[in-house]
Amino acid sequence: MDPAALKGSWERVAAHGDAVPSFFYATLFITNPELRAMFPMSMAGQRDRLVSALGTIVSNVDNIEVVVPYVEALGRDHRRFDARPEHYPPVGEALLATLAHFLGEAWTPELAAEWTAAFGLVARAMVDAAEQAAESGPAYWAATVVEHERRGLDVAVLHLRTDLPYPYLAGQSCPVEIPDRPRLWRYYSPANLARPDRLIELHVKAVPGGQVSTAIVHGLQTGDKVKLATPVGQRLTLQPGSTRDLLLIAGGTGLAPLKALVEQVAAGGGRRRVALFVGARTLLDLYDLPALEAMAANSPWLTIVPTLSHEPWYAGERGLAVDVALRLGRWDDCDVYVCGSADMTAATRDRLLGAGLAAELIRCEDYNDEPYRPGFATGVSEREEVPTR
Amino acid sequence: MTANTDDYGDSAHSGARSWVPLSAEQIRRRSFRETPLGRRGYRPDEVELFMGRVAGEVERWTAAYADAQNEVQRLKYYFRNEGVDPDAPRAWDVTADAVALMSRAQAQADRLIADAQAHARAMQYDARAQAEAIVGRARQEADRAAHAYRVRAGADYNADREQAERMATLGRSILAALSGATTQMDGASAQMRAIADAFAIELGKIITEPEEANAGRTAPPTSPARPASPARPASPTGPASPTGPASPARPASPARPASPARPASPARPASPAP
Repeated sequence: MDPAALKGSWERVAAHGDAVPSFFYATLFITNPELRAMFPMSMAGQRDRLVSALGTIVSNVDNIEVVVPYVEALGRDHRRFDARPEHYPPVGEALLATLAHFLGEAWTPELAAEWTAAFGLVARAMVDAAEQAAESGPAYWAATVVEHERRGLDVAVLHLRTDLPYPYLAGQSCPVEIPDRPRLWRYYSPANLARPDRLIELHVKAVPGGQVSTAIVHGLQTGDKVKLATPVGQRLTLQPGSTRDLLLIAGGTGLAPLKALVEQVAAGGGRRRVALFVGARTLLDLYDLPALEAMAANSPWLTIVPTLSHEPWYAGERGLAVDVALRLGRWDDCDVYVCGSADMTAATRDRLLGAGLAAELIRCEDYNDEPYRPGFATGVSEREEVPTR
Repeated sequence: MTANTDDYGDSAHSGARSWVPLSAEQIRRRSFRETPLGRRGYRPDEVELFMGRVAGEVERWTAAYADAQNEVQRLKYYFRNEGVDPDAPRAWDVTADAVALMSRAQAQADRLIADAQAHARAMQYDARAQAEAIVGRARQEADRAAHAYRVRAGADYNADREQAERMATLGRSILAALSGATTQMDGASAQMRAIADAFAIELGKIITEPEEANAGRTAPPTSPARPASPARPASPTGPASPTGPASPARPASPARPASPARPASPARPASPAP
């Protein structure tokens, strides 16, 4: 393989911007119309993901330690999209036609051979990784909505029951697809530990303009079937072996994974003290207070502090959750978990660092602008509705 | 030997479209007239020997071609079984026009969806801001009404009575804002209007209740210095009304442990936990 030739030609093609994925998908769907159903109605986010994934692979093509795990994760992640081995040849053909189109004269037989070989390797690795993953678990888990409860203005608390046991850790996120929005996956975190009765509680806020979250909050009903794919994320899970006390700071429905952490501490006998600061705008947004109070009622190790930022009449703590936390206590030796919108998370982290807390003790999801990163709930297009938790 | 020029199927001479293949058998059976005496010709035995070889060769290629055709069919069948259409157009056969048309259609669809999303986003933000403004204004009016009552009542002050004043004012203010909003709705929003009307009726009941039940009831657990918020988080069993059930009979109790008297530091073992 000639990495320089691959990188150079990809750079030239990628310079054509959005026209490249547009050409690729148009070619793919004209030659294989049945593949269109595997993609969402709007392809806007999809184009960025294709270019991002191809770019990652090509720019690391000579860096085995990076490219192999990436491609394998890509293959495993494509199981939830129903990708099968026979889908790869038409994709490869459309990719080669796209490269040929944009390279024009520069598309030589040698370059064509390079790309054909490279695509073959990538496709092979993806298929192998997917087949390997198929031995340890399904591509996705079917689940039924057993309860759908509106809380406040724009939040729904869902209870799902998976048909099969669905293993996950407290603090992880699950890709979710609902019947009304096929092919649009969004990440939500269970608010409870994995249970023997296979019940999962999700907190969903209807993000203004959000395609999926609004459909979940306003449209989803008891009895509806949804899909859950393999859970992802390690940033918000409890660190094995740590016995430090916990400071949890939640913004909006960012409460969900932190509530699951509280359950995990409780399941461990409540041997760590936990302070959970629940940030919300107004009283209406404190959508889960009774459940939290019930948890705290029998747990001397647990303190719940709701804080409201837009409720000047509120008799409890007013202001941002992080400010209240810093006012009320010292947290030097705590494991700190922060979950909320991207803005809230970043601002909270900055405040905590400014107050002298050690960066390595502060754990929050790692938001970035990557449109697609298999195995991480960070791509903006799949995350678009989560940041305003 | 019979002369039979038509065995060629005519093709070589006429260049006709209907090409009839020459079979090995036709080659073998092909006979030639003898040349007239005195004219030179090929030796018939050599010609026959060579024709035999040519016929054998054609036979072999015909068989090989049939095998290849069978193999093609078998592969097509295999791919069809695997869900792949072997006769589908190939990527390099797709015309630039088709690609451009398809890309334009998708771009148009993407734009429509994005516009709808942006529109929905703006409406939802507006609605939220409006709801908060209505509640905020109602609270200010309620505070003023409570203050007016305190001034008016003097020695006859009664906490229950103040609370009733407060709630009644709050409800009236929200109701007025809501009925103003419903008149602006067009026919398409009949459902929204129905929800708002139902909400108004419920609110009406709530407003009259404290004044009627006032005398017999115990004081609500909210002190006058601590204005009750009418908008508690919706109770799990409550209806999912857009503004949440506002119950003056149970003024919002702010979260239990929020009192500053109970510092919430689990990090300090010495922290008091009454």
